[in-house]
Amino acid sequence: MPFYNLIIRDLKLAFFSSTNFLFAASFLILILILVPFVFGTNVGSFSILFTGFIWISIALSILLTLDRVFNSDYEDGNLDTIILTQQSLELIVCSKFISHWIANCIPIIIVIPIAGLLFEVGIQDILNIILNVLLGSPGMVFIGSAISALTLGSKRAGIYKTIIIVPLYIPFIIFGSNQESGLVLLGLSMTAFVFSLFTSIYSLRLYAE
Amino acid sequence: MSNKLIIKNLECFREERTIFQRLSCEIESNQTMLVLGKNGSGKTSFLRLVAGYLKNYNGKVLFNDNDLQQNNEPLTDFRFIGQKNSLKDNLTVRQNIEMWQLIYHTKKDINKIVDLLDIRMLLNKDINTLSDGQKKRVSLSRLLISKAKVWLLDEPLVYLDLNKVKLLEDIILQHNDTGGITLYTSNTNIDLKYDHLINMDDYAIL
Repeated sequence: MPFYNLIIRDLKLAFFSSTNFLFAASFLILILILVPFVFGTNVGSFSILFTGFIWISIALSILLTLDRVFNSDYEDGNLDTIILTQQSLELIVCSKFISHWIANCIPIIIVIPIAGLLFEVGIQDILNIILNVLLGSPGMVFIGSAISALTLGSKRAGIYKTIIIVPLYIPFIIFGSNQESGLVLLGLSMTAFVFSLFTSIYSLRLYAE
Repeated sequence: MSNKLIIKNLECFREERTIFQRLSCEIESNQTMLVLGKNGSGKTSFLRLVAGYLKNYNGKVLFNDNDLQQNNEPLTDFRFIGQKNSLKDNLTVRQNIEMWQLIYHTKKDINKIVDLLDIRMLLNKDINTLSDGQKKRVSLSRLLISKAKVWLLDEPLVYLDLNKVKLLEDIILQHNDTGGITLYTSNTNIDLKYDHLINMDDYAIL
């Protein structure tokens, strides 16, 4: 089915680009390596900091590779090609969401247990964090992709895009750091999905002209 | 297999501005149409409208008696090759072609395509080391990756030297022989063989 093909294509493009799967995971590890130097080793409650840094690195890793979702395909003309194949716009947008989530969030989720053990976070806490990330990070991908679709037509939208997106990430980060609010995150993600799907399709229709 | 594209009294708008009006024409299998016109006369808009990107128009575009404006199905019979090359700079030519194969959902052997367009020696080169003419030829390989009935080529001759223009002409003739239709725009003095001619200046509103 062509829908899977689009996901595979995006994942291959992500793999070939300079900011590939290793980028997201190494980003988290690099941030975590720097933490002890900033706060010293006697802080005691590393596990609270740990959750925070996970969310920050997810937000950054999504934001920094956002150009790959729609912009690069729009600029080189591939979006025209994709729209004319037998895909509905909904499926195109969904495939973009899924591939971006796989490329940027899965590597971080894989690294969390290892990094967590280094920070002496308990197994139960690690599982809770992973659950929260699984529920919350898709929503962050949806919002990021939708805003970047809305700004497709404007050149050099990079900075504005970040300024618009980061405030929208605040709810995810607030509820993400609280270990019992998995359901809230799920709700946020689902709301974000509806909002993002419609905005993305609207912008694709607009900029395809 | 015969196909027919009929365009009746077409009027195209962009952002409330009328680009062209009263455009009618007919084109059948095994025919090529050349779309001429000054810069900004709406050549590209016309091709994009026929390809189905622009929905904001009056008049009718009928392909084999199906009205394209009523039709919400994707237009797989149409292949639009725009002025943008659709190439990823950091990939090789072969990888780029593989990406298009994923988009078009085909696994056709690329050896024949590569020989037809004379890009075999470029296969393992990165796109950013190619010249503009070479990029254009790689970009044209999208025509051959999977079959489409109507080819819409926006300025296909730009950057191509005379030999390569001949090459493209042969490819188009071959496509038309199997029942295909080709529409292309051009600004240069060299032209491919054509059966119909539209001068957008007659319809454009400037």
